[in-house]
Amino acid sequence: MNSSQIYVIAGAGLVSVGLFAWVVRRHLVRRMMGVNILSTGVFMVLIGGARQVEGGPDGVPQAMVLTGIVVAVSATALGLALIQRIYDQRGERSVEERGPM
Amino acid sequence: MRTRRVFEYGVALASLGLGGLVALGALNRRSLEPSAGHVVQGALEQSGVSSVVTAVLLNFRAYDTMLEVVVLVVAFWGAWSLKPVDAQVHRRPADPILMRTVGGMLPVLWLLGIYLLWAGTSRPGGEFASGAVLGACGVLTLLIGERVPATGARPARKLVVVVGVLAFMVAGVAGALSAEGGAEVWSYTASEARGWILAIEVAGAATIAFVLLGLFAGGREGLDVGRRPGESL
Repeated sequence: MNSSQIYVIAGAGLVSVGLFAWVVRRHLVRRMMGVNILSTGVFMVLIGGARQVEGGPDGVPQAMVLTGIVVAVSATALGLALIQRIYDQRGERSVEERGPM
Repeated sequence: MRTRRVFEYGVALASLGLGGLVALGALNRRSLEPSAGHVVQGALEQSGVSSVVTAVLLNFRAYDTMLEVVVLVVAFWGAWSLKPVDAQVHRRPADPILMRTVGGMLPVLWLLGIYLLWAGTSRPGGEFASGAVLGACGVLTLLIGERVPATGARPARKLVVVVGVLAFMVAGVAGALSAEGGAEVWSYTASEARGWILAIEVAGAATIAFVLLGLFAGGREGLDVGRRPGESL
């Protein structure tokens, strides 16, 4: 097993963990973290599973992941702002784990 | 509660199954054939730059990159229109250790961000890496209680948010106006690509850095830090 296969398997594990947290957890910030872990796993699978071409690694998945990371960060920030607004509207600072969501 | 437990186990099984499929698909290299990297390597001379990643981002898939910058700008507008931050960063008491260490680090970080931008045409780097580092510079500047230069002026803010997208549009329109025979409409030819890519990278790095900083600040109030260093609250 070479290092890129380890990255692929670890990335697939992150996809599993993130998907589980996203679907099962009720707390909105935990869900947001689940989506983030899921996207990190997808990035790792893309980079680790990319083929080697002459002159180094494949540039296309690298380019996709490079933009994806920045887009994921800003989407997370917008999501957190929306979560903050939801909590403000309800007049509470957090939703309980088994809350009404 | 029992149905909840069954639901969680079901989701766990489905998640594991999906993860296993993803790992199988990525480990089985046939699924990623044919590799686009060979095509990019073959066409690298036409791109105007020698870095594969920059060639993909700003020449072969430039439309996609433009729309990704648009996604950043839309996220920025969404967050600023929600005004989420009522506990502002600069309302916190100053931390002398943070101010000393970050204050010494900031010029080096600025230099690193500009270097990444300059290196993008031939080495790993480019507008996204540079914008992320410069945005982090801005965030650190806010954290030590200083105002980020030029973010106080409203016209400058409005311009820098859209300039990264405008640069793409200007390049595309210029290509359309100078196109002969219709082969290169809405794009740039190999001879002029390097100049356009440099212009787009500079503008894009400014937009990305400011969008990331603005998302951290959460609104105009978060950017207007007026406290002098060392002043306590």
